[in-house]
Amino acid sequence: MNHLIGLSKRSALVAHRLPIQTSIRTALNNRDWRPKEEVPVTPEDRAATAKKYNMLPEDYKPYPPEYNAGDMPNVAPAGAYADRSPWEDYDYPSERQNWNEPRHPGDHVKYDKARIQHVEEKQPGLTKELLKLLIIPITLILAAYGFRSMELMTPTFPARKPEPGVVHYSFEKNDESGHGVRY
Amino acid sequence: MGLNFSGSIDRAQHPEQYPEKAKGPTFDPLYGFSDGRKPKVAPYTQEEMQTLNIPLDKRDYCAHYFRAIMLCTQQYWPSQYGYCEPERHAWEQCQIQNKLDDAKEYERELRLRRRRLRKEEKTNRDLLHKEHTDNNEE
Repeated sequence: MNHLIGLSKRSALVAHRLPIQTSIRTALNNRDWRPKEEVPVTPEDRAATAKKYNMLPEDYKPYPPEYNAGDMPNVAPAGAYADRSPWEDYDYPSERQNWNEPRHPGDHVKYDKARIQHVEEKQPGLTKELLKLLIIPITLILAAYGFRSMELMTPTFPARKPEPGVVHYSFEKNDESGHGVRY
Repeated sequence: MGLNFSGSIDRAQHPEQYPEKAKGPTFDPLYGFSDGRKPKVAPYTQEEMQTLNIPLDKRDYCAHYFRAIMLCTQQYWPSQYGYCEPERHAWEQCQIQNKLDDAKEYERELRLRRRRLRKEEKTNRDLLHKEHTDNNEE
């Protein structure tokens, strides 16, 4: 909230290891924070109520009378934990919430971090999963292509077959008998 | 690393020192054999092998042994494993002899190649030495 009302020098304070002011007192005790039954009508009342709830007077808006909510502020839902920006300068970064910040009641219901929330970029994608499946076969194919010129060191020629017009010799001495070798 | 891997790397680095397996032997087959060599005789012609229904990958210098296995298998089916072992053994011995010939042929090709390389290197060295001495004399 500090940076919303122009008081935030948090990053500079953090950088210079100075004490950080994380709260603005708008009331002395809890009784002053307790919602009143009467809806404020005059601009002075509205300004005082806005100050009580740590809001700007032009931002403050009470609930319609059929809600029976008294002078509770009607604020728009700001989203649950995962819906809020992680890069903002919160008073409680682990909760993504500012001190004394007016929240919509639905936010408190949805506020639990353990709940499953709608985080669009974390939805599993079918194409991504299918592409991941291709990593191993593509690696093997590329490796086979890269090593295609490598030859194993089996020290022999491939088996030769009889062809017309080609003479294959054995390693036996020719004894002038006129017969070839037939294994 | 194993011999296969280090040998493959060495072959890729020095291809002139190793025989080309796809090309086969390149030197004169009778060079260095004062008594000559006996040629191998094919047991059948191509037409005969086709007529005898010998499989394509068995049409080599042991085709007659494989034909014996085929006939024995036909005769003793389905107990051919109990009766045709002598034929199969004879065919295996023939295959071993042929493979030994191939390996010997490879070794001969390898040694002749390296001998040729050594000779070329020696002539080059002699030429260099001759040029060097000639220059010194001048």
